[in-house]
Amino acid sequence: MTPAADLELLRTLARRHGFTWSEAMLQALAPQLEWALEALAALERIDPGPEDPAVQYRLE
Amino acid sequence: MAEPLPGVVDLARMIATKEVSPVEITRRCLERITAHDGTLRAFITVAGDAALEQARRAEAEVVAGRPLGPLHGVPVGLKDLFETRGLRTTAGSRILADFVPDRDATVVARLRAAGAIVLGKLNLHEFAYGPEGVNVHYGTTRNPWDVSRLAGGSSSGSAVAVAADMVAAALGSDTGGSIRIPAAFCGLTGLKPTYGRVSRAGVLPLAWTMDHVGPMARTAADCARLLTVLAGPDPADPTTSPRPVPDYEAALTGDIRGLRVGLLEGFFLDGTDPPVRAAVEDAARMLAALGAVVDRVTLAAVPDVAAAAFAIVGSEALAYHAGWLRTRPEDYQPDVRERLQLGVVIGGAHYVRGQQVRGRVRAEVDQVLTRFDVLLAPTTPCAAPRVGEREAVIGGRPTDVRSALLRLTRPFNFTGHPACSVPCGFTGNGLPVGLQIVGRAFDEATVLRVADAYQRGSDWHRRRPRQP
Repeated sequence: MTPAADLELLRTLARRHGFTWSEAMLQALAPQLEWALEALAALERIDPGPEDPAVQYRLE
Repeated sequence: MAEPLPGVVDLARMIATKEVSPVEITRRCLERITAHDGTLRAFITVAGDAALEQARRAEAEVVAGRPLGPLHGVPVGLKDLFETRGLRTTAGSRILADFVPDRDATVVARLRAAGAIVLGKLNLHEFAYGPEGVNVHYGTTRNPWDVSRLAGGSSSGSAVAVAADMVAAALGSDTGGSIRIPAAFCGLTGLKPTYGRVSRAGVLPLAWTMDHVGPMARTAADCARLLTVLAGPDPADPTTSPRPVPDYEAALTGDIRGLRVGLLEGFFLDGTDPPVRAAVEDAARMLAALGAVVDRVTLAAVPDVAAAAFAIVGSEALAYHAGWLRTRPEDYQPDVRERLQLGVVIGGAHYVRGQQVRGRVRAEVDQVLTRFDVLLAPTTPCAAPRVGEREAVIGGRPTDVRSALLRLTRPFNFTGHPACSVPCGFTGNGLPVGLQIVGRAFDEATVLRVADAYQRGSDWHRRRPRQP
């Protein structure tokens, strides 16, 4: 996506979560937004295999 | 105070034998805070009167010959994320500037029951969401080794208060390295225990499944004393383990002969500044000289941690902060607000995938720890960056500072394994370097035994910064 499209996505998602952030606040996120979307794309590319996501945090 | 403040174990013994009085020690610490905290910004709230009152009671108990707790009369500080009854708990934020809890966090109650004297609440990266220790509301904590440098975070005040002899020990919390990073940058010992070993009840969360609570002090022996007090099941925190708590000090035998030590290379050494790498490799050689069997090892799945941790921490942090992000977004410091806001792009499926990756990385670390008793790595790939430095050359490459600081510690928040940072050298410009020692789940005893053996054979942890 283009940076402008990324920002529009962010606006939409923010509204959907009920956040009414100012345009200046949203614009300030632009440099990190690219990194965040790339990180999520990288996560989607990872093959987790049969790993069960029901993690038992207590370990024992 | 001209002479250095003794560590926890020494100080508790000196108080018990009436060599020093709790009132005298508390006064000396308060004088240090008055003299230096204008520059260092370690404290958000100093509880001087209450501390002196506690110290007077502690002194009376010593004089009366009553049984003393393991931390009797020892001055401590608390990251301002731990709820303290009647004492404000700000989380380093404007949003909670006037929040006065009506309870003590479980770990605070345990410290008090052991006789510790609480001197106050310590500065942090706002809401613990940053490894730099930057705080626009209460002032950025400065590194006492070089006040132009970051103290590291998020438990920045905890590290600086100990390093500058304002307290003998402090509590920190660690979601991506927030105990170990500032411990490394300030020349201290900091322990992130196994997830579930120490209660999080009454500790304001950053990300529930990654948050850990632990001690920061001069030595591994000090941390062992503190962990014995802090650890154990807590009905108020359902993630705490029912496992019995060992006597961690009893594990400090000084003997590591035959122990299998894996030096993590690849991800953990590539991209690391040469003085840091050299100090860590020297430490591995020293452990071998002490009788450990040292070999090299890699963790193949660890590069996946950054993206998966973003999905998990970003989701959990947004969930906690959503209310304030709707009503008071302008009250956050900008970098923290921006990190929280980015959470809106994370979907539920990303969170689940993150948990799957987490299970896989944990399984790999568990598997490697069937061949080794502990693993070694640098705590951070560089020494403390300058305040305000967002990008720096680290390991020969221009690198985002924030990502670099989290790179080597976050994997063990992700997996929950215990990890301790100990001082292992200095850079050419006099900044401390940290060695990370990672152990099997619930085997803090071996982690501390290795850290203590290393400190018996080295003096990095005894060095003090010049007066700030």
